[in-house]
Parts: sequence; structure tokens; C-alpha cells
Amino acid sequence: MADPAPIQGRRAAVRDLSVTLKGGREIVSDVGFEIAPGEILCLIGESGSGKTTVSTALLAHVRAGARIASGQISIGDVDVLSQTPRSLLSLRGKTVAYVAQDPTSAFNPAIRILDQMIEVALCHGWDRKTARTRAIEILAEVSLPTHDDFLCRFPHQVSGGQLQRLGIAIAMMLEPAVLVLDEPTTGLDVATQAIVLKLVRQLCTDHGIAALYVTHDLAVVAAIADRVAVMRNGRIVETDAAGPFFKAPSHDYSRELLQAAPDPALARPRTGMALGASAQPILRVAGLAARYGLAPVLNEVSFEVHAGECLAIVGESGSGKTTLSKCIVGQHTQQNGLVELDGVALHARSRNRSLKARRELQYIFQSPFSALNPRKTVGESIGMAHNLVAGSKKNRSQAVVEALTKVGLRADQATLRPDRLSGGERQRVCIARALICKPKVLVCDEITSALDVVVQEAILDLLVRLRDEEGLAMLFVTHNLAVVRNLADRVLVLDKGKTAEIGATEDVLTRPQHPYTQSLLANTLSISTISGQRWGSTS
Amino acid sequence: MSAPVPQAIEDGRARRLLASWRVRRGLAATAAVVAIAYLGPLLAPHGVSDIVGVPFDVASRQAWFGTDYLGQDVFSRILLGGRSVVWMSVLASLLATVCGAALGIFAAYVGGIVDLAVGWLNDVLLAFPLIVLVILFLSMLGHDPSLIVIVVAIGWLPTATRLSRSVALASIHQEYVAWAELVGMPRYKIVFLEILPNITTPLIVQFGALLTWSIGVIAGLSFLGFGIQPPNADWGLMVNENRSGLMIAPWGTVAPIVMIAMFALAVNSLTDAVSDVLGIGETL
Repeated sequence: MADPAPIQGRRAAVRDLSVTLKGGREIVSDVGFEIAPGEILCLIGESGSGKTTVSTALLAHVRAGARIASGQISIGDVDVLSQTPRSLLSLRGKTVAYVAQDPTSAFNPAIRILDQMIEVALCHGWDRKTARTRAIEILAEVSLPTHDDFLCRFPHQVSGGQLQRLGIAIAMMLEPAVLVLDEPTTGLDVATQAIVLKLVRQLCTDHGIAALYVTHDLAVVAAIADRVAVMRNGRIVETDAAGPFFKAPSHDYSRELLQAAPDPALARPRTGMALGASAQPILRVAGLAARYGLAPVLNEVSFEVHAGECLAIVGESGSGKTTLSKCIVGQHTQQNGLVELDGVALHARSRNRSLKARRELQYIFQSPFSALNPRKTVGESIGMAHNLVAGSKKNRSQAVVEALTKVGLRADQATLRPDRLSGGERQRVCIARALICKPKVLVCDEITSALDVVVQEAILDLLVRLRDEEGLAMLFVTHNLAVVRNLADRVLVLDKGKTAEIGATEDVLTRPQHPYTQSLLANTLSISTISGQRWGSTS
Repeated sequence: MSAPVPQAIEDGRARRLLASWRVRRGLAATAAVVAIAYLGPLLAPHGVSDIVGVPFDVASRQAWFGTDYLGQDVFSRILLGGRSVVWMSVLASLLATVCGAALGIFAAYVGGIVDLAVGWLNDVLLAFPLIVLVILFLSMLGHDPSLIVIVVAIGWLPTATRLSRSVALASIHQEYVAWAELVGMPRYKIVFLEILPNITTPLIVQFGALLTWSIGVIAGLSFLGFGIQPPNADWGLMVNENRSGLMIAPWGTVAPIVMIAMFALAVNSLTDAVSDVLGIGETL
């Protein structure tokens, strides 16, 4: 049975949707919106705001333990929530399709690409040959190779960006009326992200698809959205067309979100910092090379950091930036070259370094969720650091309180275990644990990448304050150029383990010399630039 | 400022466990069997080798469950014969869990060639069926109960080591261990303060599982004549002694079997309940 006439131009409407957990707690309340054919509605909000729950509800799916308590979801004249389990099967894929966040886990690693592509068509009663023809057609549309060699590959044999385009291609197989995309570009590099965004826009316009695009990245929203819905605590607080939203958001929370969003094009110039004021750099790296087994990952990297200065290390995944930070703190031992702290060369292994070096060079991990021992209270975790560097338990509780206050936490939170804290609070605890050691250099490895924008901004503010007030030298490792601008004094751009460019932040971001930096910058979305282009100059 | 409260965590876990009806039931059943084994001897109406009647006599007011193959009181011997299997199985599984945890964490933490060597050693041990391994040692070295405990513990060692190694590995790769390494925390402290607290739950459940199996193995050894020797009373041994009279005086065989089964079932249901309440499925 072949598909009858392509379904085009159907409107998706959600009315008074409420989702409750088994215990009766409402995680989504009275959510309502409409998406016109060819329109992209971006659903934004911090993690835990219920945006993913709403998006899967469009497919009449909720995660285990939750149920749709009330509401109405319709696509064209089809009522989604009143379907039988059987009719739901024919609805999914054909009327509404889903693109998952992480393409590497959404694909079955043991099945060839073509077979996974046509599976959805076969489920809807197509024959293999028609399905294959359609698959090739759609592959061409998402600009992927269509030759047999590519079709017979397994998912691990194609890149992450290609895989995400494949995910979109599969969702497009049966030309659904509605497409639900859940953070489809979060795991991708900026260059790949730009391609995927363009593709989604193109497909929706060409085929009259109503798309619900879930994301937490406001720059992506600026680039792709026709309309925006902001969610908080399970409710939609604002729905607006994208232009007016970015120019003048009406709700306080939307304003807060927009203000917190990092933007590479907007600079907040640093004041009161004299570069190179101290004659001797606090941290000096010279000719550093590192490898994993035989594979080289870092090549002749050299730089200096002075007290009170922040050097950002920017690169895409695989550029060796994490290896660089691990070499400096002495976690990665397959290294050659020189790492000097305060004029003293450091051993490659942290354990062989002096207590002073281990104290003065502190590392903050990417994930605040695994960097704290779940079985220990905050006070114990921080206190343990104090014992180690102070060599005694003297003044321990006083020092813990002091460190907690410095990072903006309350003293009574010391008795809590990490699972009672939010992600941002946990990251503050990690910073407090580093601060109690009285460090001179702080190495921060992607420390905000697991956090929401508002929380991220608060953490960045904290780092700026620590740098200015305590005169800390900082090494800030990130893939996000937008974050760099407000924090870093200088930027080092890493490309495949080599230094592509190093210089003052302003110079690198406005007048990049190296082609790699240029392409990185060109692909990094800036809210102000995009909204300027799309809706005229911002107010 | 609060002094840190390590007790709070344990309290939380204990309270959660005791709130579960299944845990309480398992605990009560286990306690009942242990009470019979340990308090029973005080209540036994007859001595362990007192002859109270003819062999394989049916139940009477003198002997509630009849007499055994020598004319001894079955009821008294049930009350007297539980202690050995209880202490031996508990000790054997405890020994295996502790040594296995030590070895497993060590292998996981040191890694490299040590990890490989421990793995190979485990594989070699695993290649012997447990009962063959145990009987081999016992027939060479004698029937001392403490020897049985040690040999059974050695038999469980590969299982215990494997589990501790894999759960420890998950904890070792967390960043809080990396942090402890970076600030130069002594390694023994990393093991005891950072890793061990995170794997106690699976270890507790592992202990319960080993205990269930140990009960079977140790009772089985007694049955085969490698365990407690006559004239001492022992549940496993009683099954062997009285099986020829099964048709005439079934209690002599059935009663010890019921006791062993009850013990194993009680421990097993307790372990299951504990593992469900602590959500072990998520960590394993």
C-alpha cells in the first residue's frame, strides 16, 4: 500500500495540556499553543521546566510514571490523545514525527543506515522498493550521499552531524504534518549546527511542516524561530512572534533569559586590569605536547598566564583542549614539555608534585554531578580539601563557612548532600572546594556546559568576581565562543592540538587572523547579530 | 557550623529499609531461624546423644517428632543442630564479601597488569565447580568447621571479587575520585572515604546472596559427610542419617530439610527486599 496524497498544511494545536506524575504532582500545567503549517515554534526554558514532556506529548507519549491528565492535542482534524494504541502506530511517523537529541544513541549501532531509514515506511505498509526510492529522495534533500556505499554503512561509520541529518531524514520519510525536534543540535559543533538549522528551516518551509523545536539555546532560537514559547515550572509564561520577543520580551523571566544569554558580538569591556603588570607569569606552559598511546593530541602549545588574568582556551570537540587542561593539572601523564607554576617546573603526575603546587593549582570539573561524592555532605567534601592542604582539622568549620560564603551559598547548606542541590549550586560547591585550598590558578574545564543560561551567567559572574577580588589566574576551557567574551582577557584557539591563534579577546573575536578562528566565529550564532539581520536593528 | 554528620546517611538508609513491609517480614523470618538455632539448645528437652526410644519411632509425648536412626529425639536434635550451619554460612559469606571487596577494589583501582592478573586468577578458580573444589580441600586437610568456612569463602571469592570490581570501577571513573587524586589524597583514604561508601549497597546485597548459597553448600557438605561429624547434631547431617527411615518416621528427614529451606528462604527474601528498597537495580 502506497501512501495516499501527501499530507500538507495541517495545523497543530495543543489546548490546556496537563501532565501529572504518579504521586499527583503536576509537571506540565495548562499548556496551550498552535503551530501553523510551515511555521517553527521554539519551546525554550531551563532544564526541568517540562519542555521535553510537552514535546513528546504531541506524539501521545509520556515517560514512565507520568500521564496526560487533561487537555487536547489535535493535528489537522485528528485528535491525538483519543487514539487507540493501534491507530496511534499509524499516526506516529506519518502525521507527527520525532527527532531525538542525541543521534548516536537514537540509532541502533548494529543495523545499517538504509534499513533503519526504511523501517518506519515498512511499518506503515510500504514495500521495500518504494521505501528505498523514497529514502534516496529524502537523503538527497538533506544533502547526504545517496550511493550504495553510504547506505550500507553502520551508524558509527558516519559523523555526528551526518547522523543528526539522518535522524531528520527518517522523521521526514513519510512527510509528516508535524515535526518535533528535541534539542537536535546540542551535541554538535557550531559548523554542523549551522548546517542542521538551515536544513530544518528549509524542510519546514518547502513542505509546509509545522515544527516544534525544543531548545535551551537562545541563539538557535534567534536563528530559526518564527514564534517563541517560554516555559517555566511547567507553564508557558510567554508566547510571542520571534521578532518582538527578541526586541522587547514581555515577561520578566524572558527578559532574564535574554539578558543571561551569552553573545559573542556584545562586549562588556574589562576595567581596571593592567595586563602584564606582574613581571613573572604565574603559570607558564612551553612546548607542551601530549599523546594518547601513539596518537598525538597536543602539539607544541605554549602560553603564559599572569595573576588576575583569565585565558580562555577555545576549540571544538577533539581539539585537545581538555587534554591540555589535564596535562596542566597533572592528570594526563603522557606529556612532554614544560609546565611551570610560579617559576617552578611541575612533574607530569600530580601525585609527584609538591603540596604547594597541588594547593595552588586547582581544577574544576565539567560535570558538577559527578565531581562531588554523593555519599558526602557538602561540608565534608569541602572540609576534606581543607584537611589535605592545611594538614590539620584546625579552623576547618570556619574555613568551610568562609568558602561557602565566597561562592554565594549559605552556611547551613554544608549539611546537605549533593542530591539536594541544583546543578548551579553543585558547581558553586566545587568552586568553594577549590577556593578553600587558597589557589593561585584555577583551571575550569567546560564548567558551565551542563548548566542553564541563567545559572551559567551567575557562575561566570562569580568567576569574574574571584578573578578581580582574589587576583586569581584562570584558565577557562570552553567550546562556546560566546561565553569567552565577558570573562576572558586573552583567548587561545586550539585546532587539532595546535595553537591556531592566541591574543587579546577583543582582537581574536573581532579580527581573527587564522582561518580556523574565522570559520569558528562565522558559525557561532550571535543573538544580536541575527536579530539585527532578521528583524532590523535592536532597540 | 555543623560538624559533618556521617550518621545521617546511614540513618536514612536504615529508616528506609525498616519502613518496608517486605524487609520487616524477611528480617523477622531470618531472626526466627537464627533464634531457633541459638536459643534452641537452651530449650531442648533431651541431650544431643540421649537415647529416648527405639530407632525410627513415631511421634510420642516423649519425642514430639519421633526418634532418629539411633533412637535419639528428633525435636531436640533440630533445636541443637542449627548453630553450626548458621555461624558457618554467615562467616563464610562475610569472609568472601570482605576479601572479595578488598581484592576487587584493589584490582579496579590499580588497573593494568594487576587487574589482569586478578582476573585470570578468578577465571582459574571459577573453572572448578565449587563443590568439587571444597571437597578436594576437605578430603586433603580434614573436616574442621573453620576450614570449611575458609574453603567455602575461597570458593565464593571470584564471584565476590568480580562484583566489587565492576561496581568499584564505576565509582573510580567519577570525577570526585579524579579530584581526590589531583589534590594528592593518600590512596588508602581514597579507597575508604571516596570509593567504599559508594559501593556498600551492592556489597550488602552481595553478602545476602552469598549467604543464601552458602547455606545450601554447607548443609550439603554436612549431608555428604564432609561437615559436622556424628554424634554432633546438624541439620544437613540429620538428613543423611535419617533418610533410610523416611518411609517409617519421616520427621527425622523432613524437619531438618524444612529448617534449612526456611533459613535460605528467609535470607533470600530479606536480600531481595533490601535490594529493591535500596534501588540496587540502578547501580548494578
